[in-house]
Amino acid sequence: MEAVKCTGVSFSYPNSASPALRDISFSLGRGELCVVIGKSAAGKSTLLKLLKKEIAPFGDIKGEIEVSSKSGYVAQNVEESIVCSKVFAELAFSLANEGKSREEIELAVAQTASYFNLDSKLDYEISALSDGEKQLLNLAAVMINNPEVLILDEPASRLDPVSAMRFVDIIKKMHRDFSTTIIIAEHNTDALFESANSVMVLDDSRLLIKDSVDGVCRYLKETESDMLGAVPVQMRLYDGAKTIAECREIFKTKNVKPLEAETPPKETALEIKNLFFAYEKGRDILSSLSLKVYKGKINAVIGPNSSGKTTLLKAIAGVHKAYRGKIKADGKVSMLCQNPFDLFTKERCGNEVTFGKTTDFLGISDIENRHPYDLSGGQAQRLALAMVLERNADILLLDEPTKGFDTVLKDKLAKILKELCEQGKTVLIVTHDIEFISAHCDVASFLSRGRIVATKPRREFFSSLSLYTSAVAKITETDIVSIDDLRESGGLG
Amino acid sequence: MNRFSKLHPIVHLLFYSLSLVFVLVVFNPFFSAVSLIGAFLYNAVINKKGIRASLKMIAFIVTFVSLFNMLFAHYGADVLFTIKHIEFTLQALFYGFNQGMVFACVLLWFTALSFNSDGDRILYLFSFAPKLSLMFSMILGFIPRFTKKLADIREARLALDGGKSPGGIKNKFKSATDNLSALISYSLESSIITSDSMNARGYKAGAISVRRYKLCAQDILLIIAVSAMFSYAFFAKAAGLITFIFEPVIKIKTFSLGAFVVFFIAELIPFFVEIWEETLWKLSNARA
Repeated sequence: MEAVKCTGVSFSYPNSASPALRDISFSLGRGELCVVIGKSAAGKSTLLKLLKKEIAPFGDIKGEIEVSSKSGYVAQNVEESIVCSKVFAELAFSLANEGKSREEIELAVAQTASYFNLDSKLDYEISALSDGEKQLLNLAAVMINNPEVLILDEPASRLDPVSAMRFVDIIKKMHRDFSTTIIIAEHNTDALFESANSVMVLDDSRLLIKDSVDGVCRYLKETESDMLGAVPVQMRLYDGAKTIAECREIFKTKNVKPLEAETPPKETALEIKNLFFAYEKGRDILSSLSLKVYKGKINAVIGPNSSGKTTLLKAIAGVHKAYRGKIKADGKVSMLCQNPFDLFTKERCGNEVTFGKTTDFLGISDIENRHPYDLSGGQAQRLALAMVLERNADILLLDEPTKGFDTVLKDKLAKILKELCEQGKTVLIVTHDIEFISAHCDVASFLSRGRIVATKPRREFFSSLSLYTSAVAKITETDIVSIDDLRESGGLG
Repeated sequence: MNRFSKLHPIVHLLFYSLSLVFVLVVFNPFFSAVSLIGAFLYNAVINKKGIRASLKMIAFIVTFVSLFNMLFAHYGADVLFTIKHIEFTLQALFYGFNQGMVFACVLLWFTALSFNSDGDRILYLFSFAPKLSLMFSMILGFIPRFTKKLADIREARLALDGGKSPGGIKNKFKSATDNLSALISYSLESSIITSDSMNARGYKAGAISVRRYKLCAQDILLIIAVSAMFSYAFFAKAAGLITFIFEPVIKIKTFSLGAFVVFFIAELIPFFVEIWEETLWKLSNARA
């Protein structure tokens, strides 16, 4: 018995030249956990929305879609999906719509809140919750109806990695506990792939393949697809290996040549000495922080949640004034905040920046006449980057620039940043994205409790860590820390 | 302890609306003073740290309004002093004094109300109109969200410009309108997502779940007591038994001692409820 069945589904948005989906056919069995991967604009969101008929987009649809009437949908928008002002009311919303009695509602809310660990927050104003809790609330508000099919559209893409991991863990737990059929689009496949029953790959509005995790990995490798990056490193590195430990055994048999020693950079573009910052008296967020940022390099700062990463960037950008310490910048500073959409104030991209050399370089010359809110995440970020470059900034500060990005977009961003460095710009990134930064930065620092604990060249830095490091570094246990390093040393083939 | 906060929303609705309306309608210094005492005592119990602040606030408002009224109103027979042929009168001062007490009273009762009440309780009172109630709940959610968003937008812009805020009034105004228009774009965009989320969860107009509040014996008792006491006081006022004249001479024309005592007791109800609860708590602890 199938929970979801699509036969020959094609879909076009009104006034759109090319269809958003072409001839999609697949089915999901009861209790199946299916991960949907694909580049941005491949049609993932459209497909998922079509599965939930109440919010199906308007347009020309062909083919047949059968989904159990009891289905729930959670979008990537954390705040905007919330309807009420209080946690209790939000959880009760869908039950009230069904006309359930007060007593039934209170009982259902009580048990759902306990399951999702929101019990102590039932009386809270939703604005007092963290983003991770808000998204959990969105999920709980859907699960309270016991849906047979759960549709999730990149639900964790706006969360910080720690909250994102927790969110994915809950999804896995739910899948185990209730055997709900789950279809989820998600970039962060690391945790999901180990529980997924199947994976679907969408490319250019078509369904490339739907198969088991192994089958899809094999297919992507054989076809040398650029979607291979969506597969966790340990699953795609060596044939027949799926875990870090298995990869490690294979790596040991390889004959690798040592990589050239890294030359530590010298010239600094920005120097911070003994910086102190607090939002309220007596609670320092940055305390005695010193950091050197090297000129013409991609400098990275990593560290756990609430270690002060964003605060550090805001202090350098002059948004926050440190109460003690010195920041000496050699050139103009400009910071790109986490959400590029916060920067757009005009109705047309062409009014935000002057289109020309910079936008060509960033590869966004085609969006001049579009509304900024119609852009994809990757386009929005490049438009924001154009705004930074237009200000002639020498030092670029980027806050979690890869949040919600797929691997193709990440590679594009890395290429742009490297070219900017070659032009003499300096980049400072704070991020949680270890895989990205271990492959692309020049120098990395570790921020912990408001202080920089260490700063080292990339390979030295990531090989000196054992827990908080890239998958490749965990596999090789040497200064080979990224796939490119591995290729260079001859440890890949 | 907050026993009064936990009473049924209808008790709050009755008590606060009747208290405020009565103080404003009688506009009588004796009744204002009594209501002020009740409001002050209750605020003192629920927020012991705020006692000094409340006292300062009362002193400031009463003094300020009294002097303000005396400076700008010049009715009354008893001239206190004259500056450049302008007469400053006792009557104007006293009228301002009463006005000040009423203001302070309203402020203190509202402070207490905001402590007692929250969105859920207001929603409950509006549950006879579910659409209005849902709209109200959504607006309550929008306020913090949009405030935060506006701050984010402002910070994002400031960060982009390396901490330099625009100089000059014209540029400042332009950047403020830009930020506002960004907020409006965001709010329009987000409303589409919110409506999707509502549809996905089967929204039906007219359905809203509000918290359940059960009427207990104490609630019923208080509803009866508060209604009876205020009916008596309003009746006395309507019958012309409480009349105070501020000009040309200050004069108590009629005064109902019964209504005064009943009103005084009524205004002390929140305070009594708290004290009673505290006593019960101490007794139960002593026994244990």
